[in-house]
Amino acid sequence: MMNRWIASTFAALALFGAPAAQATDPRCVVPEALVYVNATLPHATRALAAKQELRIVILGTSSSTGAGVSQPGNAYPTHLQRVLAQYVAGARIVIVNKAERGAKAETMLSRFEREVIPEKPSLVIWQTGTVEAVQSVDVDAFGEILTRGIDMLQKAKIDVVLMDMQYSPTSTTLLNIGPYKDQMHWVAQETDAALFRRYDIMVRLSRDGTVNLASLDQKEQRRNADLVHLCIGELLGELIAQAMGIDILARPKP
Amino acid sequence: MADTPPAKTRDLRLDFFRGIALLFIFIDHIPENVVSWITVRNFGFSDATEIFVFISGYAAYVAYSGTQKRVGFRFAAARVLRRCWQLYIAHMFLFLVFTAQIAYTSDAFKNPMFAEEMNVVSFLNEPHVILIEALLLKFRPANLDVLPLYIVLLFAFPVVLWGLVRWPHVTLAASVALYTVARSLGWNLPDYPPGGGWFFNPFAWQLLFVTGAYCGRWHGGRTPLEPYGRILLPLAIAFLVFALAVVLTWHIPTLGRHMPKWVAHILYPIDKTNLDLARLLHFLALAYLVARLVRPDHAFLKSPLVRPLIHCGQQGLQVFCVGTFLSFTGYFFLAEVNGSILAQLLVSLTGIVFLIGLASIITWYDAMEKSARQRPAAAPAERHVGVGE
Repeated sequence: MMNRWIASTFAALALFGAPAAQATDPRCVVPEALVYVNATLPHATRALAAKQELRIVILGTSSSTGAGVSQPGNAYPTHLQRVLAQYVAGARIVIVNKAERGAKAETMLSRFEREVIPEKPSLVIWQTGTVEAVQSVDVDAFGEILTRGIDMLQKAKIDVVLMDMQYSPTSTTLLNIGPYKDQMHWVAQETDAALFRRYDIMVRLSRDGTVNLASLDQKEQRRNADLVHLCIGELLGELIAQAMGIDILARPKP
Repeated sequence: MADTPPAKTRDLRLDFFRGIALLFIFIDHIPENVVSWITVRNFGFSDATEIFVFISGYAAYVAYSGTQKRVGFRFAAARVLRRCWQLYIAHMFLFLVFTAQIAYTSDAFKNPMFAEEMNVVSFLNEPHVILIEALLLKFRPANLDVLPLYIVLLFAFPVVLWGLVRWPHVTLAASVALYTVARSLGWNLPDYPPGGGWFFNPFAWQLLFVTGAYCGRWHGGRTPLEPYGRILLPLAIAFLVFALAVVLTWHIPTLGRHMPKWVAHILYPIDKTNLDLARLLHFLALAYLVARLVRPDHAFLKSPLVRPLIHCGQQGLQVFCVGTFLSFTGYFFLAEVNGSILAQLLVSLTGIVFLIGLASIITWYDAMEKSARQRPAAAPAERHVGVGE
């Protein structure tokens, strides 16, 4: 046990610096550990094999509605659809976007039964945590809502990808993101939901100088939003494809 | 930060570790700072806040129980409250500086991509409300949470002191009981805008403060734990190693799969607001190990290299306040001008040098003032209850 621990620590440390070699836009390349696949998506995999169709519902806040991008088609859901279609050549990818500005996890949970499950998705992308951090709601209660929601979806044979917050360099001074982000990561680990580390990915893109998220220039802000959404869409597609057991390296050659 | 014990019994370890904790708090308050990798929070469950609260409790007991013995309880209680008032004023000043900074830079928050995140500055639209709420300590911007906790803990300290001097074990038991009841019934102080209550729940965090004060009873002597060293030391080390292993799975996602489900189930969530048991145990294990390894007369505490850190601990309030200001300023520089890793290193280093310099100057000033006062009159100088004592 200990040996395995040590071995994988070193393996992980080695991987941390190594860029992933996928067919993503070169600007979006991040260390593999940031798109680490922590869970499989059995229901989505089965649905894809049986019906040649993957139905996805997106639940989220303004970032999932594409706030800030220069045109609606540049938001991450569009890129996600395109990328997934590449990976599952021939199958149909249907994305139903139910994101709503300012929505809390609690509000989203209340819509599961009547608006989400009837859509019969095999996968739900649950982007949340931002509004909770801004309003500094009770962190534990937030975790309980997530656990309850994931449980409900899994019982309805729907897989879940949890997507954490955006990284905003200016607001971070005032936002206590850490506890909410940790909570999401712990819930993912406990419930076997897949986790998409959007915050860490954006920190990376920002630190690399790929995007300047603190820019005050409106044109540059839109350009940055477009690029961030492109990267999020592509990397999320990569994560979902891999979690369904698709060898993304075997697909389009870089 | 509080209340240093009289010089002859001064335990430099307290100043040293408080100094370290304050510098860690400064570094950790700069978000996404690579330098924060060296701070204690990345190696276990607890962080610099625990160190700070525990040592503050310890130092408060040593200082004020001394006053109580020499002059009496009433004066000791009055001194505690006077100190409390100083901290309140310091917090208010910090709030003013902070709000001014945010208001001045509020344009930087405008980015449609962060439509929801932008709401963190919405408090600027209602100054008529937030000023009152800030005075009531209900409105506390992120990173301005530690001082209000300390103010409340100190405010209740006369009662704790009274209890600890008479019935120490009963007082500690009462503190444990309050911690347990508050956690299970969800007691917390109200916040504004109404959310989850204080980020550091005083009803829970008081346990660490009182535990610190309780330990202060054995200041300068042998602790009753000494005979159990053979059991406690391996236990403490085992828990610290366990915590390190768990924390590694947070930083290195690929390690997550080695985390047994049942351990995750027991351990998570680790609740900082209510001082989770995992955090408390981790801190106690760490404190025990450090107290065993570093004796009060350890040679390194007298080395000139360590003196700056000791000064930081002794001038805790100023270092804390200026550190908070510097972390905002430094972070704005990183966000708006240059956020490279080199810039992060430089900003952190500059801040540390500045804080150490400040602490040294205040120490020098205090010493000069003391000698200046002693020179003209032969009368013994009244012990000065200033900030930083």
